[in-house]
Amino acid sequence: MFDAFPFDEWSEEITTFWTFGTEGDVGTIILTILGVLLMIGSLIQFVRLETRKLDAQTAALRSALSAAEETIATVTVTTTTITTD
Amino acid sequence: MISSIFVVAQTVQERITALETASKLDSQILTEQFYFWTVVVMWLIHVGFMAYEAGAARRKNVMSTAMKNILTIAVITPTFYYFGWYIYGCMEEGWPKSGHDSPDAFPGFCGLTAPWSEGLGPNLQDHVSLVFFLAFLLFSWTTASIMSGAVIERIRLSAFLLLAVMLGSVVWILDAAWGWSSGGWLTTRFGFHDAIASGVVHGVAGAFTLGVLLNLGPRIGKYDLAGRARTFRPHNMHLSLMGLMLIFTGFYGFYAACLVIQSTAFPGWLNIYLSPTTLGTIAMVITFGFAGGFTGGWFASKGDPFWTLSGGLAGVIAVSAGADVYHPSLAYLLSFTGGMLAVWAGTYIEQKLRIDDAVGAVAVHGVCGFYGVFLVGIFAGGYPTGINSIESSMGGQLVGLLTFIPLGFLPGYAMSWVLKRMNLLRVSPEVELEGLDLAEFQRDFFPEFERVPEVIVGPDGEELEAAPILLDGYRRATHARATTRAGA
Repeated sequence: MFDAFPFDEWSEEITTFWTFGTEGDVGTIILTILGVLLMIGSLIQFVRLETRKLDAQTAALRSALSAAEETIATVTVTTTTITTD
Repeated sequence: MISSIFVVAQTVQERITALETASKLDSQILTEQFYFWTVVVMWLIHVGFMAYEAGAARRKNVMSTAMKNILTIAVITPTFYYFGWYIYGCMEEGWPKSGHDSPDAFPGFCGLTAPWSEGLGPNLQDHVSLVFFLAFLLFSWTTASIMSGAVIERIRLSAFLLLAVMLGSVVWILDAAWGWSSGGWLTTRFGFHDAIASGVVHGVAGAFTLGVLLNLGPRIGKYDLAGRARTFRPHNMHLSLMGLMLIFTGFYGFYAACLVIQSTAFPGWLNIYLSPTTLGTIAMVITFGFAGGFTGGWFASKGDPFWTLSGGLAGVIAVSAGADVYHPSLAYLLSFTGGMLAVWAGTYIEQKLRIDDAVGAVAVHGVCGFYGVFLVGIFAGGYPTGINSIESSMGGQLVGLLTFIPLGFLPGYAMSWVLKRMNLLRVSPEVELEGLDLAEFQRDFFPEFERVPEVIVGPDGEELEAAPILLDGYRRATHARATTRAGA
């Protein structure tokens, strides 16, 4: 079966075909630049996205913590007042 | 009559030429298949690292731990493609460039490592360059995964990813160019020998990790006021042990990928320096390395499951540098010492140096990696390494160690120091206490299971309720240093 495969009919161009051109062509260089931009952009965005998430969670936790501490302080003051009276 | 003989001879000659061409193509395709399958097997290393670290994390940090391993692939693959591979191909001579001390083993290799070159795109004439790149890419992921486990439960995911890029696409591949290539100056001038990357991958990654850990600091509650170490309970030790076994399986692919095969260019198998060896030799060494390492880890830790398996890994790492020449019995003996060394070094780092390395990566990979390089100076001294046939020696190995230890440590320390100054290295104490999963993903990844109070094992082995310890640690952390900008 493979002996009958039409090798001779393959175009010479198929051996050098790259999308948008061959090695070192403008098309390949442009693709490389776009890839590098995506790489750098994603690294920056990893940092920014996480910072937003962590800051929001930290702020929420701190406000919850301070609210809890205020409640404890209020209860402590009230208890102390009642005991004193 | 004569003309007919001439015609027959010409036909035979054409036939022989056609067979030679076909044979060469078959050989190249076999090489291509070989590296392809090593890459597939090496994926198991990363499956293993993910399971290992996720199992070692507490329940509240499981997914953030696993995501580090997955996103390692997302950041190292492009960075290694766009500049990491070029570093390997073009910086073998060191800096400042002084020319090769030997014939260039692969003329034009530097040019093939640029991302726009014919070596890194679809090319019907080249069956080797891309799979060779992929094997090295998997090594790069491995270096980052080595650091990954040590820093769990308090590092920012994005900080880890930036550090992973530095380690996986710059630091380790630069040391590979210098000491793990046929034209590397450490080998061509000093006979440096590290066949399966004890120091080049493991040692350097361990040194980098140590630099990061010094700036990152321990997890809240890890040490008491007297500086004694507490132990956090892994949420799933079975998962960790299975992860280690997967890493071990993947290591066979790693070992195989460290060899070079191309039967039409040279006979048999070669190591990375183009010195001859066999696949069977290194397969025996890794297998006996596990056996000796498990045994050493078991005895040194008095039967601790985690350290027994880590000892196996340490044992293999300790014999990797000389795996192309060691006798199986020698590998068994040396890996036994490597397994023990990992336990002792890990305990020392945790308890005496008070460095919180969550999985013992510095001890297993760093200490045992460099130990393996050192052992070659003793047990493989005199072996003619590389295309210059310079004999391996203790002097050459020490030059390698003196080069690689700072090359690994300093970038890790410097980059993590900068990230720390920018408040981008570590999560806030509030998030660390609550767990990173809720902050990063806004959900608990065990929804059907009720949370139980966290437990910490004290320095004397007693089980303690975690809440008061962690709150005390939190108060000390928030009073001792500035926290994140959030809510400020």
